[in-house]
Amino acid sequence: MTTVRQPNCQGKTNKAGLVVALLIACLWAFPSPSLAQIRWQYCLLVSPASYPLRWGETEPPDADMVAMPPGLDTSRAIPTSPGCYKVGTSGFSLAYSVEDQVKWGTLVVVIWDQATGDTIWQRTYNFVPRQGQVVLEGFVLPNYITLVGFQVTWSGSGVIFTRFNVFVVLDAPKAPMDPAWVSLLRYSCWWGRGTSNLDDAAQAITFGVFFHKISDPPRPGFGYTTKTSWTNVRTNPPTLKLKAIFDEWDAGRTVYGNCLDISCFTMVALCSVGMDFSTRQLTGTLLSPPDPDAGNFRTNPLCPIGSDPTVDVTYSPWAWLWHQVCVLTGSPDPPSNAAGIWDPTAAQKEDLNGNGYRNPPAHHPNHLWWQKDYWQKPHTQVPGAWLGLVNEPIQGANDPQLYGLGTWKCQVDTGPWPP
Amino acid sequence: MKVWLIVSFVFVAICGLVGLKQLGGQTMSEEQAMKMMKEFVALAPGEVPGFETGRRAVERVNTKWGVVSIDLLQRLYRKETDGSEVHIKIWASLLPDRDTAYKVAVLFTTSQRAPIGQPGMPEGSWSGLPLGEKAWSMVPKQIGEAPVAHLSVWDDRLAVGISVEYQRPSRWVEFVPINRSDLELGELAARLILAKANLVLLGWRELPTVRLVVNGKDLEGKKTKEGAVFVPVQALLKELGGRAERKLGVIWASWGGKKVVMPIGARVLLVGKEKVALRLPILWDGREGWVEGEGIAKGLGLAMRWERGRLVLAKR
Repeated sequence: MTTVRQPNCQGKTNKAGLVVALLIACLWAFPSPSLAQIRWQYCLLVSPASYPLRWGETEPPDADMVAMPPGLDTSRAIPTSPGCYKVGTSGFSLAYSVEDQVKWGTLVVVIWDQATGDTIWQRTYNFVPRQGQVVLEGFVLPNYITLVGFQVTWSGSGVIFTRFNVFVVLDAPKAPMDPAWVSLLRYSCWWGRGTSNLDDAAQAITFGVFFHKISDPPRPGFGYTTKTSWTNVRTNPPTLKLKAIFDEWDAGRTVYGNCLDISCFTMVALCSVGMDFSTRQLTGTLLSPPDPDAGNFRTNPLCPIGSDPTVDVTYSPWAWLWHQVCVLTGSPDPPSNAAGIWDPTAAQKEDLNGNGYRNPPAHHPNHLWWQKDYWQKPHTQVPGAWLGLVNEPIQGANDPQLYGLGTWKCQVDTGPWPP
Repeated sequence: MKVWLIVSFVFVAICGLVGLKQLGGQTMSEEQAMKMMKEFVALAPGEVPGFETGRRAVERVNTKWGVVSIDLLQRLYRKETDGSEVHIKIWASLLPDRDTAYKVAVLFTTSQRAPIGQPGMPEGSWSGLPLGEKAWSMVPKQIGEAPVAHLSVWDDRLAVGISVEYQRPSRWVEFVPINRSDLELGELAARLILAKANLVLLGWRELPTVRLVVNGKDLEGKKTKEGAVFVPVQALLKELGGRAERKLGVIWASWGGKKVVMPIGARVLLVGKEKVALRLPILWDGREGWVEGEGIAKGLGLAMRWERGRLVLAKR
């Protein structure tokens, strides 16, 4: 999935790293009795408190919680825990304890942005006790979504280090991502990396989901089929098989689903980084006989997720009865135009101004996708032509309308689908 | 003292009955149903030619209708020399009643072309042959559609969803039609699942045997609790001097100038263009096909009568 970068310290840090590496190499080559006895007991970000997290591996949720505080605790079943914090969080303290023959040593903390590899903070604490707590003075998490790596190195009778990471999100994760899943944050923080507000983050994550498959070398992601395939619609509310999707990607396979699956997935990705999104099912005026697509509406040419949106051949009209998109929770119901639409299922060739677009609709102050316009809007440059999702028939004053499940949030689980 | 013993016995019996869920005509606990789905209904290696059996799982799902669905989830796969893979994905749900099973089968067809809760795929199997009580299917037709075909089947208390999909290492999702041979194998998976589940639900091993007489030769049939008799079709055709051969999910028979098509898991057999309805689905026990006696007699034009506890099938 994401390419998480290692710390890229500049200048002196490189030299220091070289020295440390040489030291480790020497100690490895000439093991001494003292090295055998040096061991971390714990190294934890004890304050401030992290948002609670789930691994996303097993049910029930209580059995799946990430142990807190973040960091390393060798007494835990899973020793290393990630953390999750709001952008710009500061006031971090690190508690640590090392089993070592010497009582004093040096602690080096290096913190880097895993998206870029750039070191964002580092500090050396000389002559500190083998058990204690240090304040990461002056360290403030980035003011944008990203993944941050922590490396803590102890130099006493020998040298040991530990690493863990924290997710930097816009706000507390929202339902159904409360707690957020670690397996999802690895993707959502990558897709939303570098964004510091809702507009930019929601657009980046919508694009991230749409373009995830499209890569060289090939990478799994989503592909489009008209059938709902990864959401169990027999439960109320329907259940997105989220772990099964990641299992599929981990096995190198593309996940084929429709708008219900893909918008539910995008919704939980948006919720995981602290934006309160829902999904919404929409329909409108439908075609009548003898049209071969009677009972459905016909879209403008769309390029479904997984296909190459840069070439014309992948764009074609689709006959659908309904379509599911993402909206901000609490957005006005249709036909109001005062709701933004995020639609990761398909790219549109033109935006709502009739300009070349070839991206999935993702509402943004710089690129508006308001609900009613998104559904259908007269082309200002080509008389008689229509922009937005629906090409035919001409939609009525009350279109679009809520459909089926209306505005809703799926639940998620870790069950197989199929294994 | 005796009163207390009786009260205790009745209490224990009631508790036992309450602890069991009615999964069909026979009483089967959820645990038994899950074990049955995992160990017997799940497809074994070699049952679908050329495919490896991947992992399988059995889940207990609380449905929105307030009943429990016992789901078998299984994946079969075949690796191709070009690095691509063909997957057959199976969802088989055992429900406590026909109505809910129908609703589940319909939900397996959910698509953007119909309201959720109504069939979202065209009716009919991939091959066009009957399957279960009702089947729906679709194949990818339009550029932009992923290479995956879907099939949903309803039969009594069973709902089966099958997907045949191609996984290809490529930068984009490429539009590739699904080969007919792969659709046949996917449909075979559905037919075998239906047949195996019905064998279990009928309590096949425990069903009493019935002596059949065909052309003076003795054969063994199986009699259900409801009185229907299953007849072994290959043995029957052999004794009649005809031929019966299974090709994937369909038994093809010929006798007396008639050609009879018996799709496993269907409640219909085809004699030429005529459809003969069956009360129970055509079964396959791994070696032999079993068809309800009245139906096969009607299809082949045989006379059927009981004589001293034996069922005689003879040419008219």
